[in-house]
Amino acid sequence: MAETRLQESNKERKKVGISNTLMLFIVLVIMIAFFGITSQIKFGQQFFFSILNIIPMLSNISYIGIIACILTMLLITGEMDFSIGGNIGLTSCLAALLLSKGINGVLVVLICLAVGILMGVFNGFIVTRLGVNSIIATIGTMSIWRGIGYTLSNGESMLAFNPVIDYLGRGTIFKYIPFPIILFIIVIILTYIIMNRSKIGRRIYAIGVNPMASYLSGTNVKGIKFLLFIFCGAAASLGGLILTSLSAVGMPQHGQGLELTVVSAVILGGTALSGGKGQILGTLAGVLILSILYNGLTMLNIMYFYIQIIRGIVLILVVATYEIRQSRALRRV
Amino acid sequence: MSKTKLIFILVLAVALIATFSIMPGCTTAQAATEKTVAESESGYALYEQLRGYAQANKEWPEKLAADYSLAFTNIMGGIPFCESVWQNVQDQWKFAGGDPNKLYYADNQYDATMGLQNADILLAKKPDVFINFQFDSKVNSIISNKFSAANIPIIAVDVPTPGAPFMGVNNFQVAYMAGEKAIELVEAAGGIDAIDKIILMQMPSGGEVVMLRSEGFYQAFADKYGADKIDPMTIRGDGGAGEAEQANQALTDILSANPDIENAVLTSVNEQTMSGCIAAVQTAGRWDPEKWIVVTQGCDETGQQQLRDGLTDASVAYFPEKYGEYLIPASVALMNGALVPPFLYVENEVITLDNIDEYYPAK
Amino acid sequence: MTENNIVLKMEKITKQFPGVLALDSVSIDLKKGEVLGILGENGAGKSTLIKILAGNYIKDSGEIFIDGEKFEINNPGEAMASGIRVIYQELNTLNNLTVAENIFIGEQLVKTGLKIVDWKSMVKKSKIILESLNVDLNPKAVMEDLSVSEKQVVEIAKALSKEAKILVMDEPTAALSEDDTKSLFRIICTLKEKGVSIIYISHRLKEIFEITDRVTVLRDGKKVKTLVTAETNTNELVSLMVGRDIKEMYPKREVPITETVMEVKGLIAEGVNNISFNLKRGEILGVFGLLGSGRTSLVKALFGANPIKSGEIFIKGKKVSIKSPRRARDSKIGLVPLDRKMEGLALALGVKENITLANINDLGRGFLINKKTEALKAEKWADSLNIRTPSINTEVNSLSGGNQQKVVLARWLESGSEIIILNEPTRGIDVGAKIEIYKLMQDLCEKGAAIIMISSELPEILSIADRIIVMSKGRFTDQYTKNEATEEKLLSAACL
Repeated sequence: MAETRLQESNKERKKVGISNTLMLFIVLVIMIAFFGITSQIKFGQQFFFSILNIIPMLSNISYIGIIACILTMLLITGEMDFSIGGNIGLTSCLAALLLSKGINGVLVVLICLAVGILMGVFNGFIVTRLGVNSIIATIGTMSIWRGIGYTLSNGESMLAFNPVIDYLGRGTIFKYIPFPIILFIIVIILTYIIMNRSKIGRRIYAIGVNPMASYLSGTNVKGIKFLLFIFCGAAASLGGLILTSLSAVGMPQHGQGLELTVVSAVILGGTALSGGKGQILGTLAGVLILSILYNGLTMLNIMYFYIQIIRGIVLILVVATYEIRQSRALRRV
Repeated sequence: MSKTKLIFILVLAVALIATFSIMPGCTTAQAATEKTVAESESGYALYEQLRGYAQANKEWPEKLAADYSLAFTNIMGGIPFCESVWQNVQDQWKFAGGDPNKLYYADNQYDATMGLQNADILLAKKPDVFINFQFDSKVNSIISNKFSAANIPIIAVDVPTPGAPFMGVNNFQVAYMAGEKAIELVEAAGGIDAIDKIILMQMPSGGEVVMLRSEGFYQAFADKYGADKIDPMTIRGDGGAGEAEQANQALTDILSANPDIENAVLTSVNEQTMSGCIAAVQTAGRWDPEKWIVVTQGCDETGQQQLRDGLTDASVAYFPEKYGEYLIPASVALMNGALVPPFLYVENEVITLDNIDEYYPAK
Repeated sequence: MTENNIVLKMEKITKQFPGVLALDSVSIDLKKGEVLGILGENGAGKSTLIKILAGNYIKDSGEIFIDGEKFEINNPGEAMASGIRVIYQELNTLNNLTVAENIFIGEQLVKTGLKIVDWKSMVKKSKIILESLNVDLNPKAVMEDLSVSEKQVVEIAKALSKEAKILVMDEPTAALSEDDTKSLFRIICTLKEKGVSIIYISHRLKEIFEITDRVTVLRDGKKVKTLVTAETNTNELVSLMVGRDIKEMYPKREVPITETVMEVKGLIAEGVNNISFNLKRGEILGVFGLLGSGRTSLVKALFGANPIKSGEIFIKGKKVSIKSPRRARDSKIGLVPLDRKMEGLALALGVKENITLANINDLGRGFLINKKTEALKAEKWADSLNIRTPSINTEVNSLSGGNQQKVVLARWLESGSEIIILNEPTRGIDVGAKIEIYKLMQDLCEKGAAIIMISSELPEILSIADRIIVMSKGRFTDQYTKNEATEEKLLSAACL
């Protein structure tokens, strides 16, 4: 086993990204098998592998996944957006408020996405034009967005029932497949194509690997980062709308702490915080691992505190494995 | 080369999931609860009977829970109040003959999103009854929809869930009791004119019912002294979702905005927010136990300690360690097709330093 | 001379880096009170040898003897303890502290009995050290007010604040004017008289002859020879250094120089003061200047990476506004930057991706990259520039310096650049690759390109450039044709 792996990685030395992703999917499969089997043993019944579990779980993570895919692109350029959680809170309150004023559902969705884009523009402006470090800038805007959310909602949660909004999170296609999962899949495919096949994807990677060399080769580094901040803003508000739909409630607390969940999933997927490295499929695996871990452990009646500990250990283990593999690959050159 | 491998693994994973999900016994939906809710002649007779078993605090004479499963979400694990509730639910479940493996648990962490996710996970386990302890009453409506679609009855704890029997505090009554106790203390301290402000730390995100926890307090004052007198004195603050930190900040702001507060009446929705509030007053350097009349609600371990330390003057006890004595009989009654009263209010008591040892003997 | 006279002996030192044998069994010895020159091209192994002596690198094999005793140097602290002091090319002074504080940094004098810094005696001792070097410098002066050469003196004083047996100076004159160099040499003579042994690293032959007693020549990680300075001459040293005849080393062809393609008038930008010049098709224009002369600022301004405050640039007679590297690229200007790892290449990406980096838009119609088109383009340049790489998908990181430089050059050829600016194009690459780069530059000129080559290597610029402009303090100070230029003229113009 170890030997074949060694041979594999010798052959694939240049493509550390792909084989790391492969590793993640193997971990994922092992995890799924483990939860399936233990659930069977413990309860004598298959709770984990049932449509009743898998489908709601996937719709619950679809909004995280959508944001994670887009954030992966931004992280690859070496920038960060922590304001996504605040964006979700604001969007969800805004949507509920507009609905309560009797505004048409489609219009509400469009307004919220436009506001999301504006939030992205604001982040992009602060980071690329004023030159503020993106971590600091977006921690700042995170607080601003959430504060506006509290102001809009007066701190209360507001019911948000509307056919259009309902469909966004709870509608189904072909009777069984929830609409947010479809959205998630579309985003995965789009971002995958962008990052692996497109011109802008190439520029994103090059910026992450060496911003100076990219700039001196005529790449509009700031422009691309700006664009990705806008994408992030739009993705977060789409996520906020889905979450509003899933909970049927607009509340300023929505998305609290979500930025860390999303960032951990992206990092787990093999994206480097320093930029230049990352794969959309890796992020997909990261999102699935973290949420299946929660789902499976909760299924097994494991206390939340232990789940937190296990999550942390998994994150560190996986990232440490990347580092070890990386340094081995370097030593072999 | 590696891409084909990747696709292979993906296909494998999908196939694995597919196999498991069509395995016999996995997807067959639990035979839809066949128990027709028997229109019991005596109304809530079964519940009353089981409640009697539970209050004895020992094994029930009948193992009525033996073949059933129960799901419970906790509002926030780790807080003494919530841990007491959970502990008592576990104990009573065992007394009722329930299988501990069939008592499903999840922690909502004061997070509505998590509450939703947990509800989905527990729904997938198709419990016979679901006890929902989740802080946002409006989010509970969507949870209620899902479970009623699956024909699984819900019992709501402390925060209402639409269409479900409510177990917990009669918020208005408790708050009114707290208010009456506070009035007693105000009178002893020289009457309402000696008081500068009445501060209510509220929790708007808990919905209207939780708002009653402080509005009842206000009502007691308004009934006694008249709303015209009380209204200008009353400050309502948003203490957040029941955690110390947010309440601390909110009260700090109130204190800065009202530099002349010296003698005040202070109440909040639970003991955690109160500890944040007291810390805020102390940090501001304006703490004087003689001048602050502090009446709180919950009287969990934190609250007992605050009482013993002289930080609070009185606390209305919810007796979380007795919640299971209501929840399990109600659940088992529902499992057995009986009805449960729409409101199951816990009995409350005003605890002060004088009677605390009666209810909670010092360790 | 007897064995006792030998202060330092390094024997058969070998050091391997990934992909490069940096030092291959190199031996040197240093006598008491002598100045030993170490001469070699960039990448010959000079710096590696010094870093091993200073404890910054650990040798793979070989032995070090100090005063005849075997010594293992595992970290900079051990090197310091055995009396070795190194002054690097990049100065390590802390600019907001005073001279005295810098001299005693890390080992401040403490009042006896008290843990209090003894400022007075620090200033007093600094004064004594500075006086012993025959320099007039106020110990209380703040570093940022000093000139580069004065800072260097402080570095020397710092090295001497504790007893120094061996002083290593790594290219100390890279940033110094001729006068400053002279005063530095005076200090070296003073130290010599006191019995300090000095290792002097430089690639300026003139200095080697002026100051050293003996000289060791390194080439490609190997020691070529040690000579007594008085018994050798420039030609011998150069041919030892490059391993071949000068003509062979710097091949120069006659290329017809035709019409003007670029004209710069009164360019003012950060670090660049009122510069005008023109550039003709087929021409290699050399720009020579010392460290800090503004040569790199000029490159950045021409390429749009530094904002231009005033002045005009004409390309083929048309006025252009170069506000960004993107505009420069679109005006058919290409840049091979100074630091290819930091500024030139995306190291973790492949050869292919690096070649097409400036022309991603041409990699297919619309939104997507056509991988076939891209591979074809990359293969074409890899072949025609003879880039030695296992495949075009190999990470550029694993290529040798010369091949990396060719990848950067290929990028601009792919983008059709007609004006190519090369900033120190042969820094840190081996001799064979250098020759290839020189030939390549002239091939390009033949095909009608115009080249601006910034270089601080005198033999290179003297042999390859058709015309040489000398810069100092952001201005052009003089201009020579290939035939007029000499080493002395360039150096003295560079110090104006």
